[in-house]
Amino acid sequence: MKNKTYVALLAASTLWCAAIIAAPMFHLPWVYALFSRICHQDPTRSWHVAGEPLAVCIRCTSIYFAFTAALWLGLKSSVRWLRVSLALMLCEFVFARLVLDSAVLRSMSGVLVGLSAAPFIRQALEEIVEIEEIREAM
Amino acid sequence: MKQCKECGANLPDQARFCLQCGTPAVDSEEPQQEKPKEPLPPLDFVQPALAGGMFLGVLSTLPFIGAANVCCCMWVLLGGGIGVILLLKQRPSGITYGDGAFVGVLCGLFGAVIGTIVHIPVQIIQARVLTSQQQQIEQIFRQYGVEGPMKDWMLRIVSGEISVGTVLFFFFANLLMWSLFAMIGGILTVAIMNKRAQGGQARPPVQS
Repeated sequence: MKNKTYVALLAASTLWCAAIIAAPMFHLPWVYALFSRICHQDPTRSWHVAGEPLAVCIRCTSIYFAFTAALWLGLKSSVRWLRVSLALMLCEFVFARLVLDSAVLRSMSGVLVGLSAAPFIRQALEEIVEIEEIREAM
Repeated sequence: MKQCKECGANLPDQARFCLQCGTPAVDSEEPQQEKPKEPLPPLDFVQPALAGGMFLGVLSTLPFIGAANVCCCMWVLLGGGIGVILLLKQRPSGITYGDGAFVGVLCGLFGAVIGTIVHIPVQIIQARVLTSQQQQIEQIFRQYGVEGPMKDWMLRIVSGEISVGTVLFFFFANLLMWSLFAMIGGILTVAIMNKRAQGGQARPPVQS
């Protein structure tokens, strides 16, 4: 069951990333609309595919793709890395407002958060499924 | 209290995995000497979820303030986090990732309902302000090169259109996205707060 949970999460996150790329490629306004609830979608702060901006900004794209990559790579959770990456993103956010707003820095901080957060989400979902299995068995 | 056989971190009794390194948790080495444990009091998920949902629903929907959600869904993640912090007050020994995920999803559900209710009057007031500035907004879009389906969608948003269709769309989009992100916020808060609640144990080696 653990494997099924992992595969389901992997499939969902891969589909999520595919939707981000598919939106500009196949002109899907509803995908933009869906992602507008969680991202500003500013074209000047987004990567472009086929002349159209992706469905989310650079930072969000980096988080989601790194999240999926972490699942594919099977990275293990580390609270230390989670704290460091969140702190770095906060620093990068402040740095971007005060000194230099760089797409590379936004992307890097997003990648770190995505890589460090994914193992915790996987662990939590596996734990929920396991508890449900125990409840059903009782 | 359990201890991780891998990194030695203290774990809540009901934890099935180590909160630090992810190793499956096992009971301590001398279970026969342990006193029968009192069952933990059941957690009340509703009140923390209502508080978290209220927080994320209202702040995400208010004009300008709600814009902070563009920073990686900040209000939604924090809403899930608030739910977990309130849950931890009920059980300071620590909660599982599953508990954090569950209260996060509930925060998202309540937040979607509250956010939709707040959205309707906000949209009506916003429409009165924005319709007079429609041409200026279109000019800004042209200036920044906003074109295609995204431009159409954004113009529709600022037009202040209120219909059953748009309200339902906002509700279900919020329900899906906010539940998901509040759940993530809840899980990550458990990862960070549980450690703090244990007073800081030996840190596991970096494995990633």
